[in-house]
This record gives sequence, C-alpha cells and structure tokens, in this order.
Amino acid sequence: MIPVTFIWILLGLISVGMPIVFALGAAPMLGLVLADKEVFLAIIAQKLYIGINQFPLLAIPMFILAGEIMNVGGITERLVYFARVLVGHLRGGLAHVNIISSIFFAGLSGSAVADTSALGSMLIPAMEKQGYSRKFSAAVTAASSVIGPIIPPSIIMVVYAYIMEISVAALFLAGVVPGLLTGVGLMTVVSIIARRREYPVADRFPGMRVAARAGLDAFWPLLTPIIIMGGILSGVFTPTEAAGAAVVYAIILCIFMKSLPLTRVKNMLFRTAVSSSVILLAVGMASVFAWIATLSGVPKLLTAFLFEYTDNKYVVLLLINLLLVVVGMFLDAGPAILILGPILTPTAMAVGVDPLHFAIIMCVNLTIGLATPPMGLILFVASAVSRERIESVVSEMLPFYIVHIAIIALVTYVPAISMTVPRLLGFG
Amino acid sequence: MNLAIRCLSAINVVQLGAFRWGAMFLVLAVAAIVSAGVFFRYVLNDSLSWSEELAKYAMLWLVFLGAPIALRLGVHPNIEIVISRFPSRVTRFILAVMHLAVCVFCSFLAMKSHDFAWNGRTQVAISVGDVSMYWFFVSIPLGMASMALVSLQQFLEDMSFLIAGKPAQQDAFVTKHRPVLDEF
Repeated sequence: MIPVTFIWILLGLISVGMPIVFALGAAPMLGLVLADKEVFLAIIAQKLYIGINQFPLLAIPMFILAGEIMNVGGITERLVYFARVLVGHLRGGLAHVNIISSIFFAGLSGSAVADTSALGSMLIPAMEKQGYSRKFSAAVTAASSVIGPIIPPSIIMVVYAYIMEISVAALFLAGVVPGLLTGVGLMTVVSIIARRREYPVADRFPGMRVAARAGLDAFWPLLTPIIIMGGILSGVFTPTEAAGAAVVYAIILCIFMKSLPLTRVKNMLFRTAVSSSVILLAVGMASVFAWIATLSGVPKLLTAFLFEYTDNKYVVLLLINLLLVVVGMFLDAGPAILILGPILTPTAMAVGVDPLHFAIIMCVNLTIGLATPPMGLILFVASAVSRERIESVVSEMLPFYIVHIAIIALVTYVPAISMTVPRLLGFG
Repeated sequence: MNLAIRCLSAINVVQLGAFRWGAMFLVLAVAAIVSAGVFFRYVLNDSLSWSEELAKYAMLWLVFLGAPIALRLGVHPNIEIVISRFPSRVTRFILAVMHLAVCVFCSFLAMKSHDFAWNGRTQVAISVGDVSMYWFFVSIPLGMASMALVSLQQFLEDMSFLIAGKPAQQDAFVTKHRPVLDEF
C-alpha cells in the first residue's frame, strides 16, 4: 500500500510553480521512495512509454494541425463572414457574430485557445470600431470560446476518453447539444445587454443572394465536422484516422482557395509540434500518476470519506461540480482532467452516475474553468489579444458566467441533454 | 556564473534548434503516415501493415523533441499565482529551487529511461522492418536529458538574478521562437 502523502506532495509541487507535467511524475516517485517501494521506480519509464505510445492519442496532434491549417489558410475569415451575413443584422450584431463564429469554429478545431486567439484578433478590433467597449468585446470572445472544446472535435475529450477508457465517439456526440445550448444562452444574454446599452446592428441583411453566396463559401469548411463525425460513426474511420482526414481535407480546401502562405506553414508546424508535445507529455506523466493513484487506493478513500456524509447522487454531483469549479479556477482543463478523472470517476460511478454522463459533466465544467479567474487560459489570451486588463474583462464576463453555471447545472441534472444524441446513435 | 550560463545557452540553442527541425518534420510525417494508412485501406483496399506502428513511434519522438523546446519557451502549464505573492527575490529563490528540482527529476528519469531503452534493445519492431526498439525508446532519455540541461540553465539564470539583482540576458532561442507561439 502506498500512502496518500503523494497527493499532498503533488499539491505542494504545483503550488511552488513547478510545471504540472513534472509534478505529475515527481509526486508519485517521491511517494514510492517514502513508502520504501523503490523497486517500482524502474517501471516508471515503461509506464511513461506505454502511456504515450498509443494510437488513439495520435488524434491530438492531428486535430491541432487541422485547426492550424484552417486558421492560416483563411478559412476562419469565411466562417466569420458567413456568421456576419446570418446574424449581423440583429441588435448587437457583431457580438452575435462572435458567438455564431465560435460555434462554427468549434466544429473545425478542438481547442478553446485557438478559438479565442483566431476570432479575438479578427473580431475585437471590428467590434471596437462599431462602438463596443474593448472589454465587452473581449468578454464575449472569451465567453463563447468555451464552446470550442464542447462541440466535437475536442482535444480534451480525446484525452479524457483515452485516460478513462470510454468511447471518444460517444463523448463527442454527448457534447453537441450542450455546446449549442451554450451558444443560445450566450446569445440571449447578448440580446438583453445589446438592447439595454443600445449596441448597433452591424449591417443590414444583405439579401438572400449574398447570403447564399456566403453560405456556399462557408459550406466546404463547415462540412469538416460532418466528415469527422460521419466517418467515425459509420465505421469508416477511427477517431485518429478522422483527425488525419481532417488534416488532408483542410489542406485540400486551402489548395482550392490558393491560400497557404509557405512562410507561415513553418510556424504552423512549429506551433503544432510544441502544443502537441506539451499535451502528450502530460498525458504520459498522468498515466504514471493514475497508476500510483490506483495503487494507493485514493479513489476508494475519497468515496468512503464522502459516503460518511451522503450517498445521495445529486448531492455528490453537486459537491463534485463545486470542486471542479474551484479546481478549474486554477488549473487548465487538460491537467485537471488528467489528475481528477481517475480519482473522481470511481466515486461518481459508485453513486450510480453513468460514466459517459460523468465524462461530459467533467469536460463541460473544466472547459468553462478555462474562462474563470484567477487562472484561465482563455482569459489570458483574450486579455492579450484585446490588450485589456484581465480584471476588466472579468467584470464584463459576469452575465456570461450565469449562462455557464446554468449550462453546468443543466448538463449535470438533466442527463437527457447530453445523453440523447449518443443514445439515439446506439451508444450507452 | 555568466560564463556557465553562456556555455549552457549555446549548447541548448544548438540542441533545441536541431530538435525544432526534427519536431516540425515529425508533425508532417505523422500526418502523412496516418493519412496514407486511411488512403491505402479505403481507396486502394490494401492496408499498410506498418502505418499504425510507425505513426506511433514518430509521435513518441515528436513528444520528446518538442517537450524540451516547450520547457525553454515556458509553455508547460504551471501555477505561479501562489509564489508571485511573495517579494520578487523570494519568488525567484523558490523558482530557483524548483528549477533545480526539475533538473534532478529529469536527470533521474533520463537514467531510468535509458536503462529501459537499453534493456529493450533486443526487442525488434517487426512491422517496421525489424529495427531494434532501442531506437524508439531512446527518444525518452534523450528528451529527458535535454530538459535537464534546459532546467539547469533556468536554475543558473535564477541564481544570477539573485546575485546580480537583475534578470540574466534573454536567451537567444526564446527571443527568436517565443513570438511564433503568440501569433494571431
């Protein structure tokens, strides 16, 4: 038996600023040393190797690359233009455009930060020109960016599905409705704010002909999520191969649009290489951590501890959600899932929560955590892109947080929202 | 001290520069291999026996070439909100200790993973032309050793800050490549 001390070591190492990826490896190692189980140390390298050398994980660099290609190739601009034609004539037009673009973009890319930086750098200046305050523009961008990893494809879902051994396809499907709902909720809030502050409409509805033309331009890029999901569900692709197909498809689109500047291709490959290795090394180290966590029986202890107070499913889910919100304030979604997934999932299953349902709860909650202070990757990027202080962006985020909390509550307590789509398609 | 930093910096610029090209090539390679696998299976109806294995090994190398770069550029997520509350010299001292700890951890893992690679040298990767597995396993100790060097440099930079009271000269690799990550 390995004492749970290593959990405290982990927290200690993380709080003194050690990169989480090393803390995830060092804490179990120190734990083993303290327990006089040095023999296990020899296995760590092997665990690390097995944790990374997995075919499903190849989807991660592929999805990152596909997103980068679409961005560099100017496909994002087409999506934004189409969104503008669709909702630009509403009051608060560009704010709505921002949200709709996030939904479109979510189907092409699997990461929230890509969404914030790509759409933010394009839309925040445009919004400012039309008289929106910069902090409001940054807040809308940040609030809607969380849709990115909720609607498939999604990198954190690939990670979660791999670590917890559930179906990626099912988890992808479970995200569709919650993602769209988030969009609807945010647009409702924007309508209310826009009316109160008398934000302008962006442009008049340009007529069906222009709309159809813009739709046609956006049609091929928007086919990406359908190719990915259709391919996976019909059994043509594994999720990894679907990610590969998304890369090829993105390249083909760019070739047809004659828009892949070579100088930026190098930078794009570099960014893909760096972000993929950051995520994958963390996954590898987390598999070492998860192995020791299971050996030490931490999940069992946690469940036993919780059951002394309550074994009510709804109360347990409430407590877990509160914990996730707090953790999400400090940790990125990826590391949080890697640390908490193996610890919390057994507890949730013990009170009768479906593993897939729990997966989507965790993914939605921790994705939203990317936009909460004091530590939130989306906030940092939104603040950097808009050159507005984080505090002022956050002050404008408050109404949007209400939507986020409502979405977490709905996803948690109305399983049908997330589970219907996967069930209809034969999962769970 | 400054001499040591400059030497390490020179070494790291060279090795990370090489890793950068390697990692960029491997991203392309992974994409090409995975798509080739799909193409051969569904279009030509003739599955490649080696594509899955080779793509995984390419990814393994990608991770351990990319991770040291990420460490140098400071993009492995960490939490500095706790220690940033302290006066800047205290913060810097904690960071120095932390960087040293990372260096020790990476060196230790480099040794352990090299044992692992060496013990595995008799295994061969059958589907990719009977290559000894050592050539794939060895990416792990290489990446770990490289990260040990990077964190050693970071430790020395912290120490030089503590002694001289001002930040060490910005590392050449960081100045050149960090902006690429912040594009858009």
